[in-house]
Amino acid sequence: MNGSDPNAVEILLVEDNPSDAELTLHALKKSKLANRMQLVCDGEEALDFLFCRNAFSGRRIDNGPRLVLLDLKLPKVDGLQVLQAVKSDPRTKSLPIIVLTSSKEEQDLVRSYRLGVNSYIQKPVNFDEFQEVVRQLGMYWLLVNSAPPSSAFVNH
Amino acid sequence: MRFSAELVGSGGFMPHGYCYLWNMPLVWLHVISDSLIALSYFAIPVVLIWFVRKRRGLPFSWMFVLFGVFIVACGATHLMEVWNLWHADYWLAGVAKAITAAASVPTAVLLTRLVPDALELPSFAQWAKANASLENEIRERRDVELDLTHDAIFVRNVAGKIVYWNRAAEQLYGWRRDEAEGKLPHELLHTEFPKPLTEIETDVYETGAWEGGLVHECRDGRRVNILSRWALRRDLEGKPEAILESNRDITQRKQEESKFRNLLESAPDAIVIVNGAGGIEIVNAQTEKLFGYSRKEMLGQPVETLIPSRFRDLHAGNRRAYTQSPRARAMGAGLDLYGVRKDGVEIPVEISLSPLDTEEGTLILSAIRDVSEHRRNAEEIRKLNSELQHRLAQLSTANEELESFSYSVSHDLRAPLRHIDGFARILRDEYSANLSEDGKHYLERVLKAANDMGRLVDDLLNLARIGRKAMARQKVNLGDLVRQVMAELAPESEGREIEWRIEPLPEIECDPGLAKLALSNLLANAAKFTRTRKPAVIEVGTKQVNGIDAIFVRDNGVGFDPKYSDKLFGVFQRLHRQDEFEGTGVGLATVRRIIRRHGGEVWAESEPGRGATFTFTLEPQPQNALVENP
Repeated sequence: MNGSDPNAVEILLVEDNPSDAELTLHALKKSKLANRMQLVCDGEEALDFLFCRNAFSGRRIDNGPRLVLLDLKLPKVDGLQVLQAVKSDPRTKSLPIIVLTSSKEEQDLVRSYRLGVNSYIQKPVNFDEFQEVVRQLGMYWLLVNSAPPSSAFVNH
Repeated sequence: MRFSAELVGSGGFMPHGYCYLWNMPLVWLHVISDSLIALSYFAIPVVLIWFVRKRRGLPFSWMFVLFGVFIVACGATHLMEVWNLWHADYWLAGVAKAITAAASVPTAVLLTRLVPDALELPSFAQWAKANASLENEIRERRDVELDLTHDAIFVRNVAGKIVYWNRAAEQLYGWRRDEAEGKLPHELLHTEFPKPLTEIETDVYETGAWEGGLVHECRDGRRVNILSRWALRRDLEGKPEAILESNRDITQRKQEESKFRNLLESAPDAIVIVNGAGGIEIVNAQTEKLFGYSRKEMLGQPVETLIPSRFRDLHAGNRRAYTQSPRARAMGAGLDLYGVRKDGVEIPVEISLSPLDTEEGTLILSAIRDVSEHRRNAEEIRKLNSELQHRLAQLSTANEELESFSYSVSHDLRAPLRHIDGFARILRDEYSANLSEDGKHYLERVLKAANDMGRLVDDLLNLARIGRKAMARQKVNLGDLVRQVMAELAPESEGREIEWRIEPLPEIECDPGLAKLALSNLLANAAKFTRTRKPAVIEVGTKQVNGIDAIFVRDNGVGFDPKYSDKLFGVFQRLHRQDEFEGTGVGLATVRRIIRRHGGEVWAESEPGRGATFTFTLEPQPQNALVENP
């Protein structure tokens, strides 16, 4: 599950709750999308990964994941701050970011979209529905959607 | 002629005594007579010269001088007569006579020529007459001049009787001159004096004048206020002759003054009128009340007496500047002004200034308002405001806490539910082969409990949101709302026989989102509790309740016992067992909160087994315009 090669990661899951992480992973697995997935457990670690710092300094920034699944309520640096950092840096702003949260608060939606989120998904309480959502997400972003080319991550 | 030569003397003549034969009595008669004549003749010119010198402006004074010379010459000839008795100096005597002749001839000639001029000089009687006519003329002229003035002027003699009465007096008092003359003025005019007449007259005799206010009564009974000036007139010997009274009618001025005073006294503000030097001239009763001084204590005092000592110098300077260019304005705009009472207590005041042009020069009127209460009120308002702001801040903090609480509920409570549901499903879907039937049953119970709790959390969050959400009232077609809700309920009621009876419904003024949520709860309830009915009948319509338009939702469902109807709208209150009719007990609480936020009320009527009717009103009153329900 935690891909050993950070340059080969396709999905970055930012989730602090191990149950949520496990359920999401289970759903991805069922859709056969969990092979190259990286889990980070707080906002700081997410930023380290995305900006190739500290434990992830070996990663190339222009070799970003195909998709970031971001929870909003995170320890240290919260999801909205992560979103802001990614979307305001020219090297990372092309990364597709999906907020995957249990929050239904209008202000979270508004702020996420203002910061440039690519999609906002509220986790359904019902696990069957959740599995379906995750499956569709993976299908769409990894198979249907054309990923940004590596030139999109160059610092202009 | 026979006398000796020596006796003959000079020229050989004999002294004159020989002519009298030296008869001594005869000689002495001539000596004494001539001497006396000469003496007199010498004395007369001395008197004449004295007279001429004393009496300046004497006509023909040169004639008197000529006369004097002539008489002195005559006297000299008489002296020569005496001398010649014993000395025969007849040439000398002749020369004396010749001089006398030389003086007398021109005197006689000039005197003759003077006669016509002298005749022109008036006699004493003529003088007296001329004087009298002159006096008359003077009097007439004075009378004419006194007739010109607007002041009523009369003169009374020492006996007090009127001897003169001018035209203005005729006009003012209505008495003609001929009627007034000879009367006692104070009887004629029923004069009211400010002090006894005898005292006034004493003043007049001592100082020559008096001035003061009188009240006179006119012929028609009208009483007039008079400003009177008296002057004593004396004759040539300085004896009091008459008193002249000059009287000015100040009735109108008095009335205006009195109006002004009334105005002043009725003004709500303390009014202080100050002269150019800053002395207090007029104050009103409010000033006495405000400052605690009596009128007497204030009049004539510098206005700075009423100002706290620390402002006095500044004020005196400002006052002088104001006197230079006076105009109506507020004093010290934007500044807090203070007055000081007699007891030393300072009072906050507002002052407006305006110049008053009067006969005595420009006065300054200041209207002073005690603003203690005003300032106290302002202070009170400021305090209340800040308290209100403080409470608002507290409220807003509480609201923020509530918001973050509901956020936590929404996020944190939902997450474990999701986990329970997720893991239980994985267990059911992927590991059911390893579970007994009992195990599978319990797993189902876990899944259902998670599901119920999920709904409960959602319902509670909705309920909490109703209170927080700002109301957005607008005109909404109630029929449209009902149809939308019916469409949303359609999946749940699939396969059931429900007869919807929807009356034409009005346009209502409400928050569309909230109204829809309320309707949704009521219609879902109706659908739920008619589950056992075939067909289920659900009606929506309007009716009048106490003159107010109300909307009702009626069903033919299981109903409820009316003794519990008060519990119906409470949170978590349920009247049915969960295995009969599922529910969280939040729906009707939500309905009531929404209706109350609109200012309306909701209530329910029912009997067990005979259906239920939920009725609600929305304030402000719904529009009566009914729209056709298609």
